[in-house]
Amino acid sequence: MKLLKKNGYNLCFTVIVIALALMPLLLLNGFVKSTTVLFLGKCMAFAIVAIGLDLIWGYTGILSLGHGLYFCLGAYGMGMYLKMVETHGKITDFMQVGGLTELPLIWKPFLSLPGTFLMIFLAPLVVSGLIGYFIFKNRVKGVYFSIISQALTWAAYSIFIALSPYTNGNVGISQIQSVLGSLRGPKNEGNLVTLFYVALVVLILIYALSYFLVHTKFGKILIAIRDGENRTYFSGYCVSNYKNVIYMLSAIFAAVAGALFVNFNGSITPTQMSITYSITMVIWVAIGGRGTLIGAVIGAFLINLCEYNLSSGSMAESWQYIIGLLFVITILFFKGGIVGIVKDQIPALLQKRRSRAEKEGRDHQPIPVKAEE
Amino acid sequence: MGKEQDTVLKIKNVSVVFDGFQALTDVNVKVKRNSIHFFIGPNGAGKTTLLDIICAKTKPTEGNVSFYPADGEKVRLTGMKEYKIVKEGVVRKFQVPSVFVNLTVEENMELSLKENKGVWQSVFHRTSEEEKALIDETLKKVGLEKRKDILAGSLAHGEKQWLEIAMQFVQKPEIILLDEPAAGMGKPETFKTGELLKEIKKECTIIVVEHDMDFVKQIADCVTVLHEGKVLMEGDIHQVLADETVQAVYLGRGGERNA
Repeated sequence: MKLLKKNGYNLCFTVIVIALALMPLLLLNGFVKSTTVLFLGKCMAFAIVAIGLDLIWGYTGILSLGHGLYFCLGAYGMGMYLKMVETHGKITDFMQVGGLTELPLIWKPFLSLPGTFLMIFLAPLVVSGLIGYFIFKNRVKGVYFSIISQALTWAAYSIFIALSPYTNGNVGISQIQSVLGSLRGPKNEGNLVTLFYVALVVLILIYALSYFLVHTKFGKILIAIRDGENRTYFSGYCVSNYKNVIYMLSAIFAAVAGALFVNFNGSITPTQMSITYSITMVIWVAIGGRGTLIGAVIGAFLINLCEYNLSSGSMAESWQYIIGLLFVITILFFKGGIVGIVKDQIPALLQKRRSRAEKEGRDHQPIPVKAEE
Repeated sequence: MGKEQDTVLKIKNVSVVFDGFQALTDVNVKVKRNSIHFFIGPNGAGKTTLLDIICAKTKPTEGNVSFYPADGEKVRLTGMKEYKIVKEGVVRKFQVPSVFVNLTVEENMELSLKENKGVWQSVFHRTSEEEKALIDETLKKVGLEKRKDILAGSLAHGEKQWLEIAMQFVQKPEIILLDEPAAGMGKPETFKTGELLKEIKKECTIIVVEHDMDFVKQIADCVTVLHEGKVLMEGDIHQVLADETVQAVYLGRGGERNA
């Protein structure tokens, strides 16, 4: 029991990993459809963004409503590479339509895979580093930070649409295959399975890294910043540096997630950068349980699985309302989300019941019995 | 120990104006090393503002504050970042006990240790045996050694105050600023806090803002009375209690009881 309490989160994560690892086997034996596996692949990407968001929101108390920006930086980076594979490094249709005669400089790094990986790390690092530097140095916090993060994402969204010769505007980058080739059809199931395991390994690595971080002194300082920013400054820590580092890290996580996502999805559009999408990411973390890494993972999987199964049927219209309502209820009554309910609220309820039962028992029986703890 | 009586902190011509309100006017105070220096005065006299200025939470409109470390050059605190001031050895306990409620008592202490405040160090540094011993020793001083593993949020009010004092002391500071350390404490707890501060005083200087006159009488080496942002008088506790102006503006109502 004690072991379960101490390692409950990791145990839970292990169960999720094992369940995921079994999926491709079930696919090869025909028990699940390839679309389901494809979808679970995307869910793993979402879980990675959720972990990143949880690090800055759940642990550090910075609510970013603009992580769609970093998700898209990664996704576009990967998408551009895949497009270049498709056109064999030649200029694309939308560039020609936009009046360009040769490949723009910004596309050059995406001709090679190492260049692409470098950009997937560097682009979010530089953007979030600059944004974070100015915002945190000037001690902008709380709701003001959230608003700024939202505005910046909106600005980036507009830029991506406006620069259509470079980004293909509203349509985004589409008609691409994954890094391993096509994922569709029975003869490409091998590609899908490999890609699925790659994503699973990335998810495990990101979870492990985050788990390591939140259990070091660094992680304690993040919690300290969340609970008492002033006290942390007056304990001798340069809080703005810490905030900036964790912000950059979560931006990179989001970009890695975006890069995985585009492989499974086969296209990337500016919609994924919109504010609605960024807020949806926050909802995953809130409902799963912020401040625990596993909560973020559970939230990302659960909400997306519900959406996948519900949003395409009679519930399609009402799904948005349901998720909004769930979010409000979580914030009002279940601050710890699903993990909080299981970990704190149910035990507290049981405890209450037990003590009430004991009290009633005592009323009937005048001599109190001393229970062995 | 010839240095024992020299000045550790000098507040020079400090004035503060908040949106036209003159919170402090031309305050000059010298604080002696290894003493317990009190700032007392009625509400709104500017006591907390003065602490805020020393630790750079508030910028003075005029004047400056200088700190004289035991070994080293004079440091001008005015204009420095608060976390750098902490590094110099000037630490602050707030009026409302502010400990990190979601961390254990021990973790609170670990975060307060003097060294390894950088981001990289925080990732790779493991608390050493000496540091652990120092934490244990400091917690013993405040009587919290048995409560190391519980969350700081579940401590009683007085215990939180002591933990926060311990968190300051474990940094081996030269000056500790305390804003109403006995607020919300009963008589026995207040007395215990006083004895604790006397013990700590051997190793650093303590500057206290407090209302409780019994507490002041118990431990004060020097008392500065502030009134409407000005220094009314300064001296040891007997001089202050005997002073007629102080009686009139501050001790007045409670004065008969306290004096």
